[in-house]
Amino acid sequence: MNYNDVEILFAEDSADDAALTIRALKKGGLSNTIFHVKDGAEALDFMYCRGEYATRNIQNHLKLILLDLKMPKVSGTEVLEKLKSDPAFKIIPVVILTSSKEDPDITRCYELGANSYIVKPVESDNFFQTIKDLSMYWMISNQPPH
Amino acid sequence: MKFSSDKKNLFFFSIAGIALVSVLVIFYFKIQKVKSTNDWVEHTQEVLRKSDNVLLDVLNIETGSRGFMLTGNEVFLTPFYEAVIKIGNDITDLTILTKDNPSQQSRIDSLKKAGEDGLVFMKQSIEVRKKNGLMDTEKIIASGNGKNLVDKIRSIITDIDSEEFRLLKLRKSENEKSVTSSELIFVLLLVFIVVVLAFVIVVINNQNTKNKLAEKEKQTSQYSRSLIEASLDPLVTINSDGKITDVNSASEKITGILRKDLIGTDFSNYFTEPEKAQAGYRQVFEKSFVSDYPLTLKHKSGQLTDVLYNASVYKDNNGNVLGVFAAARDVTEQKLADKIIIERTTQLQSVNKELEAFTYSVSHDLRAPLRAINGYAKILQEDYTEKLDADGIKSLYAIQNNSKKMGTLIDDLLAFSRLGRKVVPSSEINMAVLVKSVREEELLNNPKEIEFEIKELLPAKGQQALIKQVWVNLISNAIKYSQHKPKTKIEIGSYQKNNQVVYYIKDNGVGFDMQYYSKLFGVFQRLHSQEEFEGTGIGLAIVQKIIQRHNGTVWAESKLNEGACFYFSLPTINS
Repeated sequence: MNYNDVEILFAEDSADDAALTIRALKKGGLSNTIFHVKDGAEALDFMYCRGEYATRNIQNHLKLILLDLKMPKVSGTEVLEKLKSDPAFKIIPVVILTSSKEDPDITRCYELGANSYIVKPVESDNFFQTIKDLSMYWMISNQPPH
Repeated sequence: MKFSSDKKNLFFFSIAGIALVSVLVIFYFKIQKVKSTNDWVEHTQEVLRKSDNVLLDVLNIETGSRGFMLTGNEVFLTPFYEAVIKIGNDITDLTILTKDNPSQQSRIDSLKKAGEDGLVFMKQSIEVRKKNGLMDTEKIIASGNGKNLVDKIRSIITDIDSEEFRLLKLRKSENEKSVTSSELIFVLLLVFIVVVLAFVIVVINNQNTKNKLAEKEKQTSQYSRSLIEASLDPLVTINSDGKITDVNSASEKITGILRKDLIGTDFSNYFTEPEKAQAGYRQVFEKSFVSDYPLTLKHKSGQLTDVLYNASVYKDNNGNVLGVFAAARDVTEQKLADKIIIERTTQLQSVNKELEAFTYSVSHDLRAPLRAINGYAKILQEDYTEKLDADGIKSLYAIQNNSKKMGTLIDDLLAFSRLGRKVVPSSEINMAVLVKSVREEELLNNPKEIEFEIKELLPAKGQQALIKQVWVNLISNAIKYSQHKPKTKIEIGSYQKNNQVVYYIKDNGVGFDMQYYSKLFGVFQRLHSQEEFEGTGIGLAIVQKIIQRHNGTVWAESKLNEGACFYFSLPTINS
């Protein structure tokens, strides 16, 4: 796979959530290339073109990062903090996707520079609609920096 | 100059005593003087009597001699001779009586000479009579020599008498003066003695009162002392040098040192931090008091006691600071209790944190699989419907329905548990506006015609967001449980009761059976089936929890199929 084609990075540890989210995005008509990583460590490797992703061109900017908060190894919050404190990446919009309204980190996420914070609905219709709306907004309505 | 009360009394008694003794002495001398004046009066009278005697003797002598010379009868010579003997004695007596008066002495000398001359003449005349008879005797008488001599004696005696009369008069007047001044002095003395006596009585009375007061004071002081000794708090007085001036037995106990050994020593000696103790009592002298000053007392065995000192200065009647009175409160148990409270608070905080983590986990981890179930069911429904028969499709809907319901349950449960943790400040709520907005929202979701009757709604104090949740739950319940009635009627109102505002919402719905009232506000407790009325059984539990957090009460009354009325109370805006 050519990592340089990737426009959206999607970090999600749950395979089911990932599958449903990707389906929702596709069904919503998203045509951009999405790349799914299974935890925060992998997300950072991808961003910094390390290990498996050494071939990726770091200059090749992404259009959006979708970040789950609760992930093994490196959490979504830590990934967010790292990226938003790096001048090279801080301009990339980051949307937090989380399962819970109870997340104690919502304020912290905004403080760290998250661009959006979305609680994934349990009910499928709502879920699909929410994901569709977010892709429409960030990929079409919203004007990215590049 | 200061006197103690005893010294003062002694001083006054001495003055009174000295005054009394001097007056008595003066009086004594005055009496002596009066007495001597009296003696002088008697003396004068004695002199007069003696001079009279002398004159009588002279007359007897003359009369006797004349009688003899005229008659020649010797009978007349008897009184003559008696008088001659007597006159000598009388003149001698007179001399002795007036020996202190030189002028009288000279007169008496003249009298004596005249007397002697007279006697000589009388004796010669008597001799002439005896020898020569009456003729010669007449010549002698006719010569008048005898008469002249008697006249001379008479004149001298008159002089003596008048001198004595003069003296008597003088002495009598002196005596009278003396008696008058003595009487005056006596009266003055009486007055003075009465005054002194009165003064002494007043002083003694005063002294008695003072003694009584002192006795009372002693009793009061004994009473105070017993109170001080009964105190379990170590009490101590300190002078400006920081030395202990007095202690109670609690102080002995806490230091293990006897009272006599404590008194006079440095107060700061008995603490783990002497400098801090010094700073403490200095602060009292500067600011007049300290409150809850923490120190640690040392027992001689080494045992330590944490105490809080409360101290103030004490003053004499003139407001001069005499020292510091300090009371220590043993706070060992309190500190222990504080420690336990801190430990328990820490425990509670950690439990609370665990609970939050648990809630987060429940929220996050239970929702994820539900979302998956729901999502995959949706995929089946969207992509594989043609491969399923009617029963399969029905089952697919059931899966979606149930997972959706479980999602709602989880959300409700989390909302309920969140209520216990959030602290939102109270403010005044315009209840009329709040209820109106809730009514509008509810009407949007319900196409059915609903008749609302909203009466006056008093304002109350509370957390607006939570109270809104109460109205949402109660109004949506009222609508829900009235949905089978042809027309839904809801009445909302309020009234004030004591310091609370009571709100009520009355519907014409299905109501409930009061025998299950105890379950009405329970979590996940329902009085109707899901088929009849949908719900998770958390709505009224949330209402109750919110109202209880506002120190209010929630209650309800109903008859089955005759509607229900829910009440809740909140603090008024003034409380």
